[in-house]
Amino acid sequence: MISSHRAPLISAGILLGTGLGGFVDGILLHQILQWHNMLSSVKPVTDLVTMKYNMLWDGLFHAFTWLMVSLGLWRLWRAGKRPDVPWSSRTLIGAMILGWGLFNFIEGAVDHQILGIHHVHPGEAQLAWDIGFLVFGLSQVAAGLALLQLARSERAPREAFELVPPA
Amino acid sequence: MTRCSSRIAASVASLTLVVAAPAAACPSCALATEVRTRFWADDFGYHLAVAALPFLLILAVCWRLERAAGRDEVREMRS
Repeated sequence: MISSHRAPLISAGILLGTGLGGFVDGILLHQILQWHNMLSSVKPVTDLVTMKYNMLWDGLFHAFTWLMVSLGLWRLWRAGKRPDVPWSSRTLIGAMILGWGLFNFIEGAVDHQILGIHHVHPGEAQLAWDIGFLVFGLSQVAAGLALLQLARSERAPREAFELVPPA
Repeated sequence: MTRCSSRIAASVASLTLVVAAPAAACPSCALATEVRTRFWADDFGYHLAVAALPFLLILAVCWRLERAAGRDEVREMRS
């Protein structure tokens, strides 16, 4: 499924998707909707101290997502310098969706289900929300893989275009 | 030279004021200290590992992907 020449672009896309997906989680669910925080099931937000405590951990979470975006940009820059890497939008977008889905699935499985440090929407229906989050992540993985499969035919390396003499 | 050094001294003084003044008048410093104390005391290493785990797993996936691709390329070049 993954030709060796596409791998640097796919790797960059997965890292970018993970980082940007993490930002969606942090910005939308932690800050705008305020459904949960990083350790809100360990230290429920009851006063200003616990709120600031959770804010600190949210900050660390955002630091990790920032690092992933930076790493992704670095890998993308390196892939861009290689003429043998097919410069395919489908491959990059597919890998980004795959990365976002992988992040949602792994984060959901580890943090929500196994360790229970926080839940998507704490309350009576938290299990349903957590399972919905996992299903969403898996559907993103499937969509990303499908897009990567579609992009398999786009194998023309950029050097083929660069060899065309200028008019 | 004297003018330059006096400018540097003025800059350092104003910077010190900028940093020191809010710290001296910080209304929630005690709160921040309490939060930081809890932060380090409450299983910091464990929580950090938990927060980093999903990212580390995905990094491992990418590392393996690029490593396998590198091996394929070497094989391609040799054949």
